[in-house]
Amino acid sequence: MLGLAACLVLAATALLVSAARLAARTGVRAGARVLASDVGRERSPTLESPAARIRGRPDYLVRERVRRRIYPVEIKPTRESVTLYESDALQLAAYMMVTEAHYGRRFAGYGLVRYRSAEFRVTLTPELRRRCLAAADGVRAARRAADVHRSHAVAARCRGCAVSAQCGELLGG
Amino acid sequence: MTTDDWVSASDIAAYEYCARVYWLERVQCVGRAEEPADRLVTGELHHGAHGRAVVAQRWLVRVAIALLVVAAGLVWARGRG
Repeated sequence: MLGLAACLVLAATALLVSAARLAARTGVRAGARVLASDVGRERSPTLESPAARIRGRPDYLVRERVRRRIYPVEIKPTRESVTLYESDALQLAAYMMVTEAHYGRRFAGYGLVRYRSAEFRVTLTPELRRRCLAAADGVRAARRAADVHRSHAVAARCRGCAVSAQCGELLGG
Repeated sequence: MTTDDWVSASDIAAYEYCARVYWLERVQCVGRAEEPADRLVTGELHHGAHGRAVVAQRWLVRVAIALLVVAAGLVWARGRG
C-alpha cells in the first residue's frame, strides 16, 4: 500500500511540474485563479474607467493565489521580441486602469504581457498612466482631425502595413 | 465630454503603433488590404491554444491534488491497520 502511495506522489509531482511548465509559457501562474478570459471559457466583461473614459477587455483577469489581488494579462502569442512594444505597454496600461477602476484596492498594481517566448511584468506607475492618458487624448484628437501623420520612423511597420496603398507617407527600405 | 470620447485599449495600442494607420482605418474607414488569411488563422489558433493550455494547467493541478489526497488516505489507512 505504501508503494502505491509513493507512486501516486510521484505521479502528482510529475503533473505539478508539467503545470508549472505550462504556467511559465502562458503567463498565468499555477494556482492563480482565472476570473475572466477573452480567449478561454470564462467570458470577460468589458471594464470601464469613467474618469479616464477608457474601456477594455483584457485577455485574462487573474487573481493571485496568496494575496488574492487581481491583475490583467495580455497575450501576444505570435509576437517574438525580447523588448516590450510601447503600444503593448500602453494597451496593458489601459487594461490596468480599467481593472483598477472596477476592482479598486483589489487591483494588484501591475499586469503581464506575454509574447511567444518572453513575459513582461509592468507596474502601473504615474508615468505610464500619464503616457496612456496622453495616447487616449491623441486618439480623441485623431477622430476630429482632417489629417494625421505617421508617428513612427520604423520602416518594418510600413512594410507589413494593411493600408499602405492609401498612406502616402510610407517609409522605404 | 461625450460618449464619443470613450477610447478602447485596442484604440490606444493601434494609435501608438502608428497614428496615421489608426486614422486611416478607424476614422476614415479606409479598407484594409486583404489580410493574409493564414496570418489571421494563425493568430486565432494561437489564442485558442493559449486558452486550452491555461485550462489544461488548471486540470493538471486538480488531478495532482486528488492523487496526493488519495496517497495520504492510503498512508493513513495503513497506519490504522
